Amino acid sequence: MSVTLRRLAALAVAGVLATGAAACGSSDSDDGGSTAAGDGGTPLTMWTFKQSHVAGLRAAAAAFERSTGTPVKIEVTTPQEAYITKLQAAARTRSLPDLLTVGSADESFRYAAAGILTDVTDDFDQTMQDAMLPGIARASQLSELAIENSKGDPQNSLARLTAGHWYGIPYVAGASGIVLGRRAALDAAGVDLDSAKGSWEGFVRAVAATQARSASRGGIVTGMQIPETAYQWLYRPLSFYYLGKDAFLSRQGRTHEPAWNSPESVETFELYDQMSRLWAPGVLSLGIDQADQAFAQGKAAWDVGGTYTLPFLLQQGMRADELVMFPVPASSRGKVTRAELAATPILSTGITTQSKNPEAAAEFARYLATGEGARIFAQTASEVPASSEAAEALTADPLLAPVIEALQSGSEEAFNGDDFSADPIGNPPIKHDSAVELAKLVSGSSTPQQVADAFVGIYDRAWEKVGG
Amino acid sequence: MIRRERAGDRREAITGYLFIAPALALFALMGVYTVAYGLQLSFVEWNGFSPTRTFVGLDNFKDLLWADEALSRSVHAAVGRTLVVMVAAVVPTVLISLPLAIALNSVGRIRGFLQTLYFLPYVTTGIAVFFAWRFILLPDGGLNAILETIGLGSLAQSEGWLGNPGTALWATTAVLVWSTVPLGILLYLSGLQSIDDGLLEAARLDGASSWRIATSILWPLLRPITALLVALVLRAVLQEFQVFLLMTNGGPLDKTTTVSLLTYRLAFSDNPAYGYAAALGWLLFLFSVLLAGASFLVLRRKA
Repeated sequence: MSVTLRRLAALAVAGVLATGAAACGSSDSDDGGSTAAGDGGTPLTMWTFKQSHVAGLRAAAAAFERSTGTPVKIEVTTPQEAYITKLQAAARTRSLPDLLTVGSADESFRYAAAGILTDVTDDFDQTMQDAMLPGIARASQLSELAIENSKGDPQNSLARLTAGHWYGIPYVAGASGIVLGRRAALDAAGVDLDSAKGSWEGFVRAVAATQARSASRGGIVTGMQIPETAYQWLYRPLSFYYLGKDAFLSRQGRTHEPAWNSPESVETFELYDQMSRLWAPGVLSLGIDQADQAFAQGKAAWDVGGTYTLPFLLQQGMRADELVMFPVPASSRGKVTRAELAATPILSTGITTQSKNPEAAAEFARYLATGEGARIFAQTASEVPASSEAAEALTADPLLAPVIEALQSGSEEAFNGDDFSADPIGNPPIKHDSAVELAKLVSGSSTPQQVADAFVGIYDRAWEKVGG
Repeated sequence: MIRRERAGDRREAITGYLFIAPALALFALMGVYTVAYGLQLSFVEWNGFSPTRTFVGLDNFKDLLWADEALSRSVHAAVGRTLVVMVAAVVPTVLISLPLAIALNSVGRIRGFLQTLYFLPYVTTGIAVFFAWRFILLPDGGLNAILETIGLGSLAQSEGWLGNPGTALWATTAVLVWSTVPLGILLYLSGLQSIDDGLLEAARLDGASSWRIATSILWPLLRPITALLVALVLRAVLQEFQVFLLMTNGGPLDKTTTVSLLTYRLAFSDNPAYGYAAALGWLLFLFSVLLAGASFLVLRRKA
């Protein structure tokens, strides 16, 4: 088959696949460019899947063009499934853009292993790493453990990559495991905010108080239609603080020590179960955006998400002074009694192997990560930037200040909500099955002990599959 | 003379072939190629990005059916739910659409208006309608409000009809039935209008009641239509994933994840597994063929 015919065929297949993705009904592609062709360098193109980032990226791109003469065209494709399908088709037809928005850890490694993204270790030098929020550079670096854990799955194996290298330059940071409260509802229920922030037990009492005041509007929400949300944003930080970092990581790792159904592990499920009766009505049917909308509409007093939840709530018309925001608190009975969040690299800029101007692409990626572009992007998109200096500029915001301060701690014991590197890599991923079992506590169909036993089975099977 | 006629025939044949060539080419590209490509995918492991595909033979099929414990458990559960939806969608569709069609057939002047009214769900079914149903089925939605108003508050679902793992599958199936009933009415109406009025008149003269006419004359005569309707609804259930994707996304607790939605999820996720998705698609196809064959046999036997 000739190359042209192959490309035609690949386009046809991509069309069919894209039709399938679009069948979900919310696919949207916007090719609007940010700039006219500049008078300087070769124009660059960057693809992203975050509609809420487009204005910020275009503002940064415009500033970049003013200082370098190189125009950068920002194109968005949503939802993420359609974006992925578009990347797959473009990779096969050799029509990838210069730059891509990618998930900072897993995704950038997977795309690099597939030959889509380049190794950016030389571009992400020590000066740049030092300019990031504490922990960002290390968390976006490929670890030996991640390579080792991927070896059982040939398609997703990272073995061809190099441990200690980077395959994307982080520009959005943040943290999952963030609680947002509706100030008016908390005041009306007489919630002591310090107690709610101070410990898991105080937090549970606070939610119970708002729910007692209004059963239909005082509960807590998160997008539990996708059960991974509550697992990742509420249970994981809670169990991390309770067990301590080492035991938390080794419980899901090859050693399974402590076992998922050990007494201390079961205790984490029991603590989580204290919240089971306090969820807002219908929480199991709410997607992520629907849960945030329900909170914004006053149908719940509490919302659990990440730092990225805040821009969405502000977009929904909430005002910053209506909200309180703090990390999911630690249990007073755990190993770690004060919640500490690691700044997590959320999104990175990847430079594609098909870029015709990789030097300029790297320059823009650096500008967006730590230069003036970082500040422009963060302020326009209301996101936490990966750059320490740009984040510092946001500490004047009374709402974001406590979170930015928590992210700047740089503690070794801080919780990194997006770090699943100790998990076995496989397909389908085990995160979903684990989250479904955990959600059975919310529906009342399992006890903490039953959930713990189910986790044992899930992890045993997964490790057996990857040869652990 | 004969030679001239043959040349004319040949020219006519060539013209005919030329006319259908574009359609054939399009079918070859969009149909045959994609089907062959899908079949090929079912024998490999591929994440959509990797430049190489790992040939795994029949392993994808084995993993889906029994070899991979976690995956096969998901597939078995999805098959079970799909079978439940098949039965739960087919029976009410027939039981609702046949009486409505008989009633419509006996209406005089406003039949056209009523036909349009009943057919509306079929032509409006889509994203907006599924979202509208979502709102109706929420804890503070229309269905609970109606139940409270008419004194049946004990039946209202405090978690909403889609948030309760025990009711979500039934609620989505009800929406599916709502969207297929118009097709049933249309098919039965066309069947009823083809029945000789004299036959019904003779039965009435012999003193047959309306119930007797419906069960002993109309039902047997409409059996081929019923078989066709059943086949169409079963096909819809097997292939339809939009209603589940848009209304519940397979939740809560995966209780509405059917085989078609699982296939979609395996292919379109942030960690795609095209080999599994293609293999599951082919298993679904084989099941559909068996089902269609069984329907055809039943149809022929009854006819």
